[in-house]
Parts: sequence; structure tokens; C-alpha cells
Amino acid sequence: MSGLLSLLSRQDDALIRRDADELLRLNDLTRPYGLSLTHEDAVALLKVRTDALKNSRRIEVGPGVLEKLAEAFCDSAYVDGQNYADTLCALTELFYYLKNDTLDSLPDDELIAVMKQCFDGDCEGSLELLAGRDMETMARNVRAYGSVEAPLETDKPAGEAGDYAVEEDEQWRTVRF
Amino acid sequence: MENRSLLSGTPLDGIDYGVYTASLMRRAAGAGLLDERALAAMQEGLLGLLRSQIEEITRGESSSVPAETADQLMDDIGYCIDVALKHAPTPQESLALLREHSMDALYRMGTGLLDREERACEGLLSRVRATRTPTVNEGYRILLDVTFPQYLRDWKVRRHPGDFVVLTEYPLAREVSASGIFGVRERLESLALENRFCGRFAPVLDGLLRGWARQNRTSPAEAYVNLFTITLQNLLLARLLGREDAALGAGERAGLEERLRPLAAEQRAALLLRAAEGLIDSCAFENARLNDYIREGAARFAGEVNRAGGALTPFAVVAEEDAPLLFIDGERLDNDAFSAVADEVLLCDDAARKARIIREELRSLDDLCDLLGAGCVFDDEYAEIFSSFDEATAALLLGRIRAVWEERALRPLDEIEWQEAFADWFNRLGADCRERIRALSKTLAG
Repeated sequence: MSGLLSLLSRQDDALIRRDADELLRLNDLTRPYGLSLTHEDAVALLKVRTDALKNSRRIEVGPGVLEKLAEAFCDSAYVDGQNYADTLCALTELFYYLKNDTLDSLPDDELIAVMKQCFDGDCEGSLELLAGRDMETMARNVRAYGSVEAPLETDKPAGEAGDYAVEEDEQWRTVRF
Repeated sequence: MENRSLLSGTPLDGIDYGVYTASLMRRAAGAGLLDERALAAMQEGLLGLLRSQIEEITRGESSSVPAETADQLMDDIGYCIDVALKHAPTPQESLALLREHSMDALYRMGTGLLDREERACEGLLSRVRATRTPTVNEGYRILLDVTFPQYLRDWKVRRHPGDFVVLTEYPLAREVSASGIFGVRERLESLALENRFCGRFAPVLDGLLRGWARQNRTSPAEAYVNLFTITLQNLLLARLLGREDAALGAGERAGLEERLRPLAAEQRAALLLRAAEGLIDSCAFENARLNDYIREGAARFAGEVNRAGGALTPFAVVAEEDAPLLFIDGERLDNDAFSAVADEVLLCDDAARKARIIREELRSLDDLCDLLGAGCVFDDEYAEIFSSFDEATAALLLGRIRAVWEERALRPLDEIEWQEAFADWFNRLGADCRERIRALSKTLAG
């Protein structure tokens, strides 16, 4: 081990102060939607990000995905001025958890797009449903099939599955490939 | 405030060379040789390197990676910067480099040095394979044809240079602890010298390896032994007898032991080192590094002989024709080992192979008698096996048979299969041979 990574951890507080200022610039984009972060919100959000990274044993260099999450979710009908900061915090934690749960196989943009689609769609703004149902299913599909959607199951009756022919009599069932 | 007088030494002593850059930065910061601004700039530089490598491995699609991945990336970055800084002759000059160059520049310096090492390794490997010692030893072959080429291939396909453990199937004479591409180079350099030496003694190497394998209950292909070492050791011992070849008889080894045991450690070492100088003069390699390698090998050998109190049995390879099969009070196998040997003999369908297994695995007369009576040798195989024994072994076996002599023919008194087979075989020998074995048996019986 080079020991250098441990030297960088002291940067956390300095990074947070600097990144909070950068995060507040997002208000220019989100203000038309009635959404804005205070400085305290931004610092809290960055601390949530740090904790989420630590809990999910990930390392991120730079401001990371917070801007992307804010940009993606600011136009959601289910996010308003009251719940904006808390929703972003929950989405941040969920995002890093899902990066591990999908085995790092989805790019950040694609994962955020899937989260937004489900949040606005079937979950109707419910973070519990998003985390506990839709994203669990999505992650399982990624791990099992390599895609966010499971492949469609065939609904052909048995014996007519297409690639083989089946003949049956009283004694024998013959499968011809 | 920076204390310039500290530049000449103490604060930078005790740097951990395993984590050189981190240790240097910490010590320098602690001694006031690096201020907060400089440290912050260095940390920013490291972050920048890490960021660019994360972008590279994620193709820019992810801003975060698992901590293990980041650890590995940072370790590799640290390794390259360590290489650049350690290239400076002193920690003070390393610190000067650290202050004068960005982390990115130091990283590129380090990767440049590592690339140079790798190119040197390619040339060395080519030379080592071209001068390979002809041997059946598998460890040696795998090292040259599989292990080292694989290390170099792995290096070329690595995304970023880094450190790695070097493990080899073949032991070198000189122990190398260096890791990474430096370790590969050091091992290749040693191997090149050993090949040069062994090339001079190629005709005797095969016999020495076979002898060592037999003495150590293994096969020449599977022996874990350094060819340079066994050759050098035998050459040095033969020189003590005034000879320049590498062959040693059992009697000669015993004689040398009698000479060496009473000597003090310094005297034994002096004898062997003088023999080494004589060997170097007569070989005239005209290669100072090889000559030093021989001297180091001789010094190591002297140390081992001294630790053994002058005993040579662990070191000297005795010529196969001269090696006794077994001794009256020779080493017995434990039950599991004996069962394994018996099974191996039983499963052979060839008497000559059975005889070879017996020669390679057994040292004790008791074990031999037990094996002959264990039902793993069959009627028609006994004669060929007994014929493979030397007269001393035949004499020892004769001593174990209760028998009477009927007009110089042996008649065993016990109905034991192997003893009856031995008597059959013995009675078919020529008269002179029977007399010699019988006389030797009486002598051994005391």
C-alpha cells in the first residue's frame, strides 16, 4: 500500500466547503421549478454524500453526481420546495448503494435516468417504493440478465416452443430438435 | 518556520521506504520543511492523478469507484512516484524533487524509469533463454519459458504500472527480495550469471542433478534446487582434494568431513574461499560480476558448512555409482511413507522401474527387507531387482537370511518368498561373485 490515500482524507472538510459553493450554483437551474438549496442544505447534502460513499465503500473524486441528480430530478412533479433537499439526500444515498448493487455495470447517467423514470412513473414520487421495490428489481435484473429489464418470457404452450417438436402417445413423449 | 539546518539530516531519517512518498511528505511536513500550501498542492496533484485514472477506467461514465479499486489505483500511482523519488540518492534530494515538480511530472518520471526497467528485462530474458542450461529440471524450464515471459506480458497489458509479488518455481543461488519489475530484472541478472557459469560445466550438471535428486528422494525433473549452487559446491569440495572436476565419491566426502570437522569456522571459511579464488582463476570467465557471484556463493556455502559443524552430507553430491543403496542403520521411512512406496512398487508392471523406485526411496536395510516381504514384488521380478543391487546391499540382505550352506549353495531355512528368491538368484551368480558377497556379509556382520 502506498499510504497516499490516507493523506487525501484530510481534504474532506476543505472539499465540502468548496463544493458547497459550487452546488449552490445549481439554484440558477432549479429556481424556475421553485427549488433552491440554502448553504446549510448544500453542506448537509455534501455530508450525506460523504457518509453514503463511506457506507457503500466507494471513492469519488470531484463534486460527483449531486449536480446530475439535481438536474435530473428538479423537473419532477413530486419534488417541491419542501422536500427538495431531503429528496436529494435520499436519492444520493440510493444512488451509491445502487452503483454497488448493479456491480458498477451501469454508467452514472443511465442509472440516474432509470431512477428518474421509476420515481416519476410507477413509484409516483415514493422514495420507499423506489428504493424497496423498483430499484431492487432493476438491480436484480442487471445482476441476472445484464440489463435493467428482464427478458420477456415466452408464452407459447409446451410442445410448441418453436425450436423442437414434441410427439406424445400413451407410452412415450418424443422431443425432436 | 523552516529550519534549514534540518536539511542536512535528522528529520528525514527513518523514512519508511515501503511507503516512501507518503512517509517523506509526513516527515517533511512535521519538520516544517513543507508548508500547508505545498502540501495542499501535492494533495491536489494526487487527486488529479486519481481522477484522471478513474475517468480512464470508467471511460468517463462513472464519477465513483469501489474503494478497493481506488486503493489499487492510488497504490499504483504511489508506486510510480516512489520510484521517481527513490531514484534520488538521498531523502533530502527526494524532497527537493518533490518540491520542484508536480505530482503529474513525478508520476511520468516514475513510469519512464519503470519502462526502462521493463525494456532491460526483455533483453535479459532473451539472453537468459538463449544461454539456457540444458537440464531436465522442470522448475528451471518453467521459469524461463512460462513465468518470466508471463510477468513481462502482464506488465505490457497493465493499464497503469504498479508493484507486484514475484514468485518463481526455481530457486536462485542468491535470494532476491525485490518485487515488481525491479525484482524480475534482478532475478534475470542472477540467472544470466548462473547460466554463464553452468554453461562451462554442462557435461557434469546432469549427473550432479541426478545425484542430488537421489539423495533428496525426488526426481531430477521435480527437484527444487539451484544448479549453480550444487555445481559450485562440488567444485569447491573437489578443489580441496586437489582436483578440478566436480565428481565426488562417498569415501572422498567422508574424508573431507574428517578434515573439516575439527577446524574452526574461520579456517573452514578460509579454505573454501581460497578454493573459490582458485576456481575463478582457472575458469577465467573475465566477468567481474560473475566472479563476485561465485565468491558470494562460496561464502554462503562456507556459512552453511559451518552451521553444520563441518558435515558435508547435506551439501556434497556423491557420484551415483559410488552411492550405497542403503545403510544398516539408515534412515527408516515412517508408516505412511513406507505404504506409499510399497503401493508405488506394487503398481509398477516393470521390474526395472521397481528397482529404480527402491534405489530412490529406501535407505534402510529394515525397510528393504520389509518391502521385499510386502507382496509388491512378484516371482519373476526378484532376480532383476537383486541384480540391480550392489554387492554391499546383497551382502547385507544375505546377513538377514537364516540359511545353511550346502556345497557353497545357499539354502534358506525359513519359507519366506523373497529369501527363497534371493537364494535362487544368489546360487546362479558366478563363484567369485558369490564368494565376495559371502565374505563381505561376514565382514559386515562383524
